[in-house]
Amino acid sequence: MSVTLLDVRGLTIHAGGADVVRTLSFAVAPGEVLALVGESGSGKTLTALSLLGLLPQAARVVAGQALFEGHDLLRVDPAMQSRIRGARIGMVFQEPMTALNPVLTIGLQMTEALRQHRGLSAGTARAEAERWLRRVEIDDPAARLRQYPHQLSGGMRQRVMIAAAMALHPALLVADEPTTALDVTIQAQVLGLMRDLVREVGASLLLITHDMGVVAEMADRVLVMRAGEAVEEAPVARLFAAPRADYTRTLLAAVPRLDAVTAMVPPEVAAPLLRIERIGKTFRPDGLWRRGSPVTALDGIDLDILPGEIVAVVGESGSGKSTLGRIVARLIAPDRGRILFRGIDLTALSGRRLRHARAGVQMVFQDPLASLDPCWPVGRAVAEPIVIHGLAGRREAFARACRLLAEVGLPEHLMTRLPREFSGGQRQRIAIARALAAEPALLVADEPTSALDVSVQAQVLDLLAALQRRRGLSLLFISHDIAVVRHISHRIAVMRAGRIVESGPTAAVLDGPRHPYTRALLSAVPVPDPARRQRARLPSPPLATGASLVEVSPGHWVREAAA
Amino acid sequence: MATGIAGSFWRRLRRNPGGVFGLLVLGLLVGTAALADWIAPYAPTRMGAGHRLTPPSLAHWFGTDEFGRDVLSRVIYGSRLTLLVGAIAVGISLVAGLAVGLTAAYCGGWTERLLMRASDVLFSFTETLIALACVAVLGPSLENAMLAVGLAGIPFYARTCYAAALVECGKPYFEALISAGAGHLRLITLHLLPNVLPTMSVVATLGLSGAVLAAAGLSFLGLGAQPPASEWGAMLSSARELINRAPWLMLFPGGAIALTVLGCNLLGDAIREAMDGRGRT
Amino acid sequence: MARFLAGRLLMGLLAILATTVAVTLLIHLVPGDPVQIMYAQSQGTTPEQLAEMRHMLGLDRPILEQWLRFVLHLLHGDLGVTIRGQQPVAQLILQRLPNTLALAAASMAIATAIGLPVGFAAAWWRGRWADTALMTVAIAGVSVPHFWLGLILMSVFAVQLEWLPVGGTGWAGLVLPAATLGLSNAAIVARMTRSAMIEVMSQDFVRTAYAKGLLRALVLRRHVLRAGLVPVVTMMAMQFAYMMGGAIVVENIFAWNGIGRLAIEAIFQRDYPVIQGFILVFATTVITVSILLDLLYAVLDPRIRVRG
Repeated sequence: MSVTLLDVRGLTIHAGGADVVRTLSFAVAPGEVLALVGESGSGKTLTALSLLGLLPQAARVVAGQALFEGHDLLRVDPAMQSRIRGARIGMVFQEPMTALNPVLTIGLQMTEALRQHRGLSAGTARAEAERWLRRVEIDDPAARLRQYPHQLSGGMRQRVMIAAAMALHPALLVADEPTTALDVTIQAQVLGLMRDLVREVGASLLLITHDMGVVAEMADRVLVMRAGEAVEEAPVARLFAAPRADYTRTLLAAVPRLDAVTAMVPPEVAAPLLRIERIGKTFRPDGLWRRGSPVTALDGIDLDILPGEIVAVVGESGSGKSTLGRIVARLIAPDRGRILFRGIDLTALSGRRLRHARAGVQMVFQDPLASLDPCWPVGRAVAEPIVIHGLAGRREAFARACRLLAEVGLPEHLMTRLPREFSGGQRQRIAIARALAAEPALLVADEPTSALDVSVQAQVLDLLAALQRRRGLSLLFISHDIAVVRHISHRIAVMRAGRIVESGPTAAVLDGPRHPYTRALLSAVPVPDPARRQRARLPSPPLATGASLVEVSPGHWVREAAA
Repeated sequence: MATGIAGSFWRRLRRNPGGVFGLLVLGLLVGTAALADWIAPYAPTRMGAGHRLTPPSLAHWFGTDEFGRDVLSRVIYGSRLTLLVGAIAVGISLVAGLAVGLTAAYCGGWTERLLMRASDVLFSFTETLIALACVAVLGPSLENAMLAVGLAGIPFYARTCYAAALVECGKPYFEALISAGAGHLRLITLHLLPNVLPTMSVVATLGLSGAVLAAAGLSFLGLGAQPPASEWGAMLSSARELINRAPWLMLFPGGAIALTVLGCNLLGDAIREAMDGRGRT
Repeated sequence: MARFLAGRLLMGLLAILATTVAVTLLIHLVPGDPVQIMYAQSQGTTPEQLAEMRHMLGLDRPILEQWLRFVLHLLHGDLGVTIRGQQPVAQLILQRLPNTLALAAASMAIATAIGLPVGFAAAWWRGRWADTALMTVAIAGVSVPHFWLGLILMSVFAVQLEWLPVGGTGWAGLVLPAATLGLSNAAIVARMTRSAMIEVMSQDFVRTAYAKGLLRALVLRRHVLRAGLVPVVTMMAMQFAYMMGGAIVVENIFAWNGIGRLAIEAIFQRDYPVIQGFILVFATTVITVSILLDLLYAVLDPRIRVRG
């Protein structure tokens, strides 16, 4: 049959004593892009792995068939499987860092499959590999082939993986969260590349992702999965315009949208709660031998945070935003500049006075798993800051902890449980409760929702917003995801390579970006609206040095391009 | 408090045949040591309890040695010395290793570098050499052997503790606690230590086997327990002299050592596996 | 890579230097008067003789000076003389060192030849009966004291069957001691190889290799083995140190004429110059081999060999 390339019927996968994928059925037509979308635990990755027989030892297929070019992928013999893998079905994995063998050259890893499947000689294979590297826009391909994975960046490695997969001209490419580990601007490039290549070769693409924005950008059809079952399947336009299933609707509603309307207006208070003055931080290589060059993480940052205000700091990896957050929370000391909190210079404090002043600024981290001491019951953990600062006696501290947990939406009887017994979203709430225990005036949240599922993400964000309103807290919200900060923040600062390139009221900056980098960033963010797919992606401008900030409208500052 | 986790840990441990065996062996060792006075048929130092150098028989299950002493009784009483040496040596290594490792991981900077470099250098000397050097300086005796083995084990315990503690120090909750104003003592004793103990308990269990081996080795060389102590290593040493006339003499003390060490190793492996399962969320 | 090696070399030199310091201090840690203890067994010595001996050994000088003298003499290849026969320590040790090295090398060869394939096979068939069987044998092997094994082998092969000499020298004399150490350590090598290989086989890049359709044998040979070499080489350095330590005891059992045997005799005779020399040479040997293996490691791991 030439109508479907891949026909999956009744796929059931069993793992850890339960069916993690239940009677899943879907089909992929030649030349089409099917997106398999779902949150964690939906079984989408296991589905993809089962097609290639790459399930981990703990999981196995118990029922169903996957018809592909006349074979049932789930029952094919090992010899045939080797022939299908790579040559007929290619796969690109999520983590470019670990997907390549660190002790073998790029060239070897690109040519070995070519040589085995197509019987090419070493020279021909290398030439072919070079051609494909050029096709994925990697400079100096011949030299790259001789290099090792650790010499390439994450984005380059992913391109290499894609090139290696496509060079075999597979009929189907399976991509499991291929850009999740990459920066937004790189992501846009890599996704675009994948789509072009797949179309060129005439292959189909089975794209696994949790990001509805990516789905809107890439897919022809969408299959929504939840807890191992198919919830809804539809052409992409219809799914976004008129979702039929409740779950799909919830999912779409939870996705933060960049083009949503911002209702936040900065408060009119004059005196800043926190003032960051000319902060600079350079990391020097450690150890006796000073290998490598020093990295300037922050280069002269100025920022004010007013009481009761939410300021978002956005940037890609390497922008220095996390370092800034940690300096504000006084976890690292800056090399230059100072932090004034309620007028007191935090950077000049040490010892007991520092510990005392610390209570005013608390931090919430990205990884909910490691944010809590695994040995401590959560009630005790939340009460600890109260006890440390002597704000109340032990019994009173527990009572307060109880109230805090209730405030973040966790019932009292869970106080004696250990962190491992909670979900990621719940743990993040506990972490927030703990941060509030010391009664801070400022919360620094470093990517607090990045590790959470989309639906949970929305809840935690709402919680933060509600807490902020109720208690009049200030919030320094650090994120790489602009869409997330859109509807939560009053002001926004865009960072790049250790400097702020643009800052101002959220609406002003996001609706009327002035700096070319901001514009490039905004254009690269995946938009969960298929109609906007063909919009132009602006390139990132070259790094500018030595320029100063200019106020283009009240409160809206932009860094000038280099003279 | 954490009965849920302790419960599942025990269940996993019980399911592991090696773990069960190890627990039994250790139980046997402790029991033998405690009840030696009642279960040993003869006094261990009683010469002439039987004829000299008789092979295993009904009267003397393990035979007799060159002084006519009953080998079974000596092996039974030897369990006390083994337990004592093992426990004290591991105790020294563990306490000192924890102190060094935790300090290095927590303090960072020059303290960390200094402590870990020193530890690396000592580690490269091998435990055998350190133990020998200690005994060479202090003189051969069981107490000195205990001390020597204990000191020799410190670098390994320190490095393992350091590695585990470093992981914890890098986790966000640790930073959150610093941010919340937690002091040094609180951080180290209430947070670092409990999280490092699981790893270190595996190390200590496996280390017990190493300590028993090392101490027995020293005694075998004549540098540890001195006659007429019925320590298993020393018994092997005398068995060596008589290898022509009484080859069975070496079987029982050696077997006792091997059994003890095997039990500790199996138990240590089982604990590690039971903990790995627990760590998975 | 050059930086890495220079770093390792410097660390090695510092370690050796630290050893000289430790060795110098060692005598002073002896409870009581070391000189008196050294001469305890000799016929009655007068206080003047003791004082003279003390002066000759330089023990009456400040510690810093003692250390400097030691290092200076060391650079001239002079490690002092034995208390008993006034023989040059350096000569005694260097005569016997090759024997110990031969024993260590032979043992390591046996341990590697048996342990690596066993560990690898256990990792390959992980979870199946072959794995359980092999690892049971391995853990039993780890638990058997090497001195006991030596006695058993001696009893069986030398005393009962008389196939091999009880001790002594030459190739025939090397078999039993090397077998003792080698078999003991083979068990350790097997266990460590198994866990290293399991670790490598669970890496993402192995899955990528299979996903490309590469045949099992090729994935094994090219990806797993090659990546597994790195941790295996690291393990080797530790194994060599173990061997050297174990050699001390084994030399004693089989009267193998190496530095270990020399050291034990010296400890009993309280011959401190010999003990000092032994510690220094032993530590230096271990450190040197460790640096050589680090060199191998740097060559094998491109992350160190080539700058990122």
